[in-house]
Amino acid sequence: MTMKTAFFAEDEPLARDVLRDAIYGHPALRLVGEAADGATALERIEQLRPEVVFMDIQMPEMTGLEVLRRLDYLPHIVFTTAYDQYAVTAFELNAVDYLLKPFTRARFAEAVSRLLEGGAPPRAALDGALTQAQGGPARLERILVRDRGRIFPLSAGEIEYMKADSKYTVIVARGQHFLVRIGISELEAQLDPKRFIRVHRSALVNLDFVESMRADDQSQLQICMRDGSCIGANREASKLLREMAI
Amino acid sequence: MTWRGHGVLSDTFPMTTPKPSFLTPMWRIYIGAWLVYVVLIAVVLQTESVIAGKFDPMMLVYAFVSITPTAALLALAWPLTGWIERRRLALPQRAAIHLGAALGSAICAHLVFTALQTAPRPFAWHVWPFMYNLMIYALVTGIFHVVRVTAAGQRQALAAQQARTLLVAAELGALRSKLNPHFLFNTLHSIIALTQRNPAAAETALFQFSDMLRYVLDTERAGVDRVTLDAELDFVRDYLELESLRLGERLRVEWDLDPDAGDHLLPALTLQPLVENSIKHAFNPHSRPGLLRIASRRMESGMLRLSVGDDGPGAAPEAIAASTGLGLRTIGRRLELDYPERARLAVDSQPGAGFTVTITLP
Repeated sequence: MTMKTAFFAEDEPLARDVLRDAIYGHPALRLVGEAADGATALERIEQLRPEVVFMDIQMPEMTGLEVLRRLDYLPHIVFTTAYDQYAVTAFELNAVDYLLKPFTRARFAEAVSRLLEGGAPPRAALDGALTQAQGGPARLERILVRDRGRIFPLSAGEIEYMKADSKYTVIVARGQHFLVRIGISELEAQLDPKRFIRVHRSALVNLDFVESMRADDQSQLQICMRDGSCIGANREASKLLREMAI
Repeated sequence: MTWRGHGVLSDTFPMTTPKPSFLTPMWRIYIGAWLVYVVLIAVVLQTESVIAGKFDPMMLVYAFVSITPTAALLALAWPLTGWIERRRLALPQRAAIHLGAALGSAICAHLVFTALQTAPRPFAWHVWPFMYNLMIYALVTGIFHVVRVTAAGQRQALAAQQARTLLVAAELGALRSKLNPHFLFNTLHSIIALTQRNPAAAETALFQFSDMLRYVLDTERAGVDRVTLDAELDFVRDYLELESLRLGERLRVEWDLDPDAGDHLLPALTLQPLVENSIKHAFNPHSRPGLLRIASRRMESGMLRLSVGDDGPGAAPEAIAASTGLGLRTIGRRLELDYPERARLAVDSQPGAGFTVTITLP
């Protein structure tokens, strides 16, 4: 396996130690440099041109997002952050890699193997992530999902339904299941509410893919999708759907 | 015949046949009770023939025709009781309205009943049926009022429950705003890194972390939240120790404390947000080292003066006034509520000349 050149930007001394150790300890990475603030990071990355960059979002002088926006080439980027709701949502939706602090060695290795397999995400994906990370929630038209190291753009209209699976969401589209590491409520907030109905706590359904709905004995609706699976709607959703019907 | 239609019907027309909602359980009971009464009357009126084994169905019709108008008329007492409850009328007004309505409904019901009589009746005959109509009015409206009051009580209990849930959510929100998640997770990340390099330092950091959490949770729970200045200063010290794990050499702190002020009482979490504010604006965004100054002084008047200052970028007074940040404003508002007219919060800052907040409280 050829080793990839790696760089990291992180302002906190102990967090820097963690990344340094993790990169040194990884057989596929060779550390070529580091920076403790955004401005230095931008300068040194452009000079050293590493293939992989681990970068904190909240840094002195310049945020990691801003550094990425200004870079004159596109390395593999893995963002590290302790807590940035908007940014993490944006990364997840655009299949941009990130690590949530604190992270284990295993999570670090997972992120690295993902980027080694997957190839760099397209510039458009990063731009999408940047716009969403800085602009807050917006209407979502496309999600980039990952499957066995490849990234697929999935337009919102193709999504049949989603199911929450603890912190993850399973997206069903094109007869396949895609797992994204983002809560169903956050997805719901960014999708067209006329088309996507939260039929109960852990299911979000695209009405375009509903075959039929029938009432059970408690007059709650059973929603049957075109792929044959059925989802029970809760009381509120049943009421809402009935009101929508003419 | 076996009835199989029901399932088919509800399967085929799930969307277009919503359940009729005007027959609530209460009205089903109301109608049921009157029907039972009709049958009872029809039987009682011909007890002798029933015992002899004969039953005249015409009596059922008679009972139905003479009783239904009363039942229908009294149903109107339901909206009337609703109106009375909503208006929260006083007892005399309620009594007057019910007396009028009782007489009105008794007269109407009695007119119907009289019209059904084939033979002429003496005047004395009218007294009992009329009295009976008044009593049935009292019974029905009494039940209606009980139903309404009970339902209102349930709604109230539900609302109270929701209010409690909201309160818990608000408290958690307050907790989140006091210890921001960015600080929490970054600190944990640093402590985890320390566990391998310097286990003793990691242990100290964890104790400081746990003391901080306890302080915030305890003051959050205790309603009235006065603490001594010493307790608040300990908390700020723990907080700064942890921040210096993250910030390293970028954070230097200078303490200038009045030894006589340690037992002065103040609202919990008065000083720490000022310190956090400085960390956020003067230290986090810059890589050069900075100096944080914390001072306390008990003045001759007995007032306590606290100040937190940094040598960061500062800000113009207009920019501070226009800022959307909640930190300073929340503290100002709390002081105003706790010490109306007697506490003061002053900001001294110019662009490039640092940022100092001074509060004075009794």
